[in-house]
Amino acid sequence: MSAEGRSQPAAMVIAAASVAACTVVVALLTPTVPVRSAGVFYLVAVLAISSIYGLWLGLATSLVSALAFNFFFLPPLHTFTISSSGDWLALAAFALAALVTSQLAARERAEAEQATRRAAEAELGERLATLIANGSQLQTALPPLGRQAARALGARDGGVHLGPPAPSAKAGRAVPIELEGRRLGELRLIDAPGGVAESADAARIGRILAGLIVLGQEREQRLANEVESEALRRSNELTTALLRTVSHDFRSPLTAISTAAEGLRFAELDPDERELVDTIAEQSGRLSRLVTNLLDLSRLESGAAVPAAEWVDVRDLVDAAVADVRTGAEVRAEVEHEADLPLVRVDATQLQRVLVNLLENAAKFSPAGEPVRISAATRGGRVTVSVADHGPGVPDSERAHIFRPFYRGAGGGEPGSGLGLAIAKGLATANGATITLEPADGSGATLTVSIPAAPAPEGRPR
Amino acid sequence: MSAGEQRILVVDDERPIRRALEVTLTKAGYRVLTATTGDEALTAAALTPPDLVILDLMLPDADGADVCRQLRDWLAAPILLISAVGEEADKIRALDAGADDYVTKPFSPGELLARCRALLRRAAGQKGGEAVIDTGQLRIDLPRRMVTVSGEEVRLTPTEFDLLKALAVAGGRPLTHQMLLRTVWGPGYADEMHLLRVNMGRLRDKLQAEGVERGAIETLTGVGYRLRESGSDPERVP
Repeated sequence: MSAEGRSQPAAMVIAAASVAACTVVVALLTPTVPVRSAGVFYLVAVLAISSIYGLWLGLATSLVSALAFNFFFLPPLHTFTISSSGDWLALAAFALAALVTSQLAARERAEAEQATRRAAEAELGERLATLIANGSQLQTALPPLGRQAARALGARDGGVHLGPPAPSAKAGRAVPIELEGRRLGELRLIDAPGGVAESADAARIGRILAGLIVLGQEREQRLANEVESEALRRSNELTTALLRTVSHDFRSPLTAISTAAEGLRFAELDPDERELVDTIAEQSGRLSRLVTNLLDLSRLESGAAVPAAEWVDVRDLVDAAVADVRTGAEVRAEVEHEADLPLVRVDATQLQRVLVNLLENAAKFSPAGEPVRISAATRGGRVTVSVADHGPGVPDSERAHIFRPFYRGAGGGEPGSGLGLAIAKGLATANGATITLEPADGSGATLTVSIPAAPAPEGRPR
Repeated sequence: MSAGEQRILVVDDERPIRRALEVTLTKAGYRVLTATTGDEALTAAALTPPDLVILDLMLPDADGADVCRQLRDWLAAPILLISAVGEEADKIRALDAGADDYVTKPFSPGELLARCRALLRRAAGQKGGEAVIDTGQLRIDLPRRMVTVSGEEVRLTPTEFDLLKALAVAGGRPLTHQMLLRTVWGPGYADEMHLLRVNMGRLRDKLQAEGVERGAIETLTGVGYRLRESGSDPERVP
C-alpha cells in the first residue's frame, strides 16, 4: 500500500511546509550565496516529498518550489514572470528530479512491500504446515489453520470449511480453497475488510491452504493404509503359522491311523467290519490330502515355496501325476502326448502337484466311469498341459472364482476343501506358468497349464 | 528261504507307526525287530544282523542319510526308507548314502510288502555279472549291446543303451538323476540335467513304439528314475 493514498491532506500540508521552509532557508542564504545557487536547496524538498509521497505530490512540490523561487528571489521580484531561459531550466530540473526520485522510491517501496508480504505468507505457510505436521488428525489442525489464515488477511477470525460452499454464506466473506481447479472447501472470514476475499492475497492463501489440506489428507490416508496392512500382515502371519503347525501335527497321527487301518485290511473280517475299516482308511487318506493341501497353501503364502527349477520333460510330469492320482483315488485318465515337446525349466515336484490337483479336481466333477483326458502340446513357444473332464462344466457365474482359496463350486461331486485349484494356481505362478479355464464348449471343463518353453541349453550335446 | 526266517529291523521314533508296521510285517510272516533311534538301530543291527532294514528318514536324533552310510559300512542287507512328501532332497542323500528304495507316507501295507519282497528277492538273488537282463518286457543283452522287445530289436543310440543298461543293472532300485548322469555321461556331467531328460524322452519314445508303456521306466519326480520290474505291483507306486 502506498503512502500517497493514505492521508493526502496531511501530505499536502507537509509538502507546502517544506517548500516554505526551503524558501526561508534560501532567503537566509541569499545575502552570502548567489541567489541562483541557493535555489538548488529547493531540491531537498522535492526529493524528500517525491520519495515519501510519490510522483504527483513530488511534481506539485517541484512546481510550487519553482514558482516560489521565481516569486521571491528572481527578478522581477514578486511576480511569476520567468524572464530568462536559465530559470526555465531550473524548473525543468526540479520537475525531472521529482520524477526520477518518485519512481525510484516507488519501486523500492513496492519491492519492500512485496518482500514483507512474501515473508508474511511464508511465515503463515510455515505456521500452517507445522499445524498439519504436528496434528495427528487433520480435523484438529483445521480450526487454528483457518484462524491464522483469516488473521493474515486482516479478518478478526475465520475458519476452514471443507466440502461444498454453504448456501447461507455471503459473497465476499469466503475465500475458495482450490487446488488445480479442484474445490476442497472455503475459508470463511469474520469481520474482514471489504474486498479482501477477492484479493490476490486471499487467492494465494487459498492455494496454500489447499496444498496443506491435500498433504494432510494424503498423510492420513497413508497412515490408515499402514495400520491396515500391518494388521493384515500380522493376521496372515498368524494364519500361516497356525496352518503350518496344524498341518505338521496332523500328519503323524494320520499316518499312524492310515497304516493301522491298512494293516487291518489283512485281517479276516465280516463285510460290515470290513466296511468300517475301509471307511477309516479312506477318510484318513482324504484327511491326509487335505493336510498336504493346507501345508502347500501355508508354504505358498509364507513364500517358502521357492521353486528349484530344473530341466523337465512335461510328459514325465504328466505320467508321474497320473500314477500319483491313481494311488489315491479311482481315477481313469487318458493320456495324450504330442511328439517332440521341448523341455521346460520348472520345479518338477511343484509342477507335478499342480497336475495332480487338476486331475483330482477333474475327477471330482467327472461322472462315474467317465475318463479324465490329459494332454500335452506346444502352443506358440509354450508347452501346455490340458486337463479335461466330462462333468457339468463351470457356470459363467463361477468362472471368476474357481481359483480362490476355499471356494467350492455349486456343482455336485464330493465336497472338497476348495484348495486344490488355488494351490495349483499359486504353484504354477511361482514357476512362471499360467492356468486358465478354457471357454466353455458344452462338454465339461478344461483347465490348461501353460509353461514357457525354455531355450535349448548350450550344453555339451551327446 | 521262507519268510519266517527273515528278519526285518523297523526303525521309527513314532510308536503308532512302528507298531502298525510290526503287526503288518509279523502277519506277513516276517520276524520283526524294532528300534526308535539311529543309535538303537546300529546296535540292534550289530547284535542281530537283519535281512532288511526299514528306516524312517526323519529320526529325531540322527540324519537318515548318516544312518544309511553307517549301516552300509558293514551291512549288506537292503535298506528301505520311509519318507514324507517334500523330502526329496533327503531322499536323494539317503539313496546316495546306500539306501535301496523308499516308500512315501501314507503308504499301504500292500505297497510296503511288495517293496520288501522285491528287495529281499534281489538281495537273495545277488544279481551281478549277468550278461542278459530280462525284465519280462525287455531283454537287454549287455555284451552285444542289444535290446529286444518280444523278439524285436529296438534300435538305440549308445547313450540310450547305456541309460537303459544303468537302470537294468540297478534291478528296480531307484537311481537319482546325478547317479545316472555320472554313470552314463561321466563325473563332470552331474548337472547336465537336460541331457538326461532329452535322452530319457527318446528312449521311452522308442520303447513305446515297440509297445512298452512309458511307465515301464518310472519317473520319480524330484529324485530320479527306476526300471519297473515285471513282478512289482504297477498299481502301487509312490
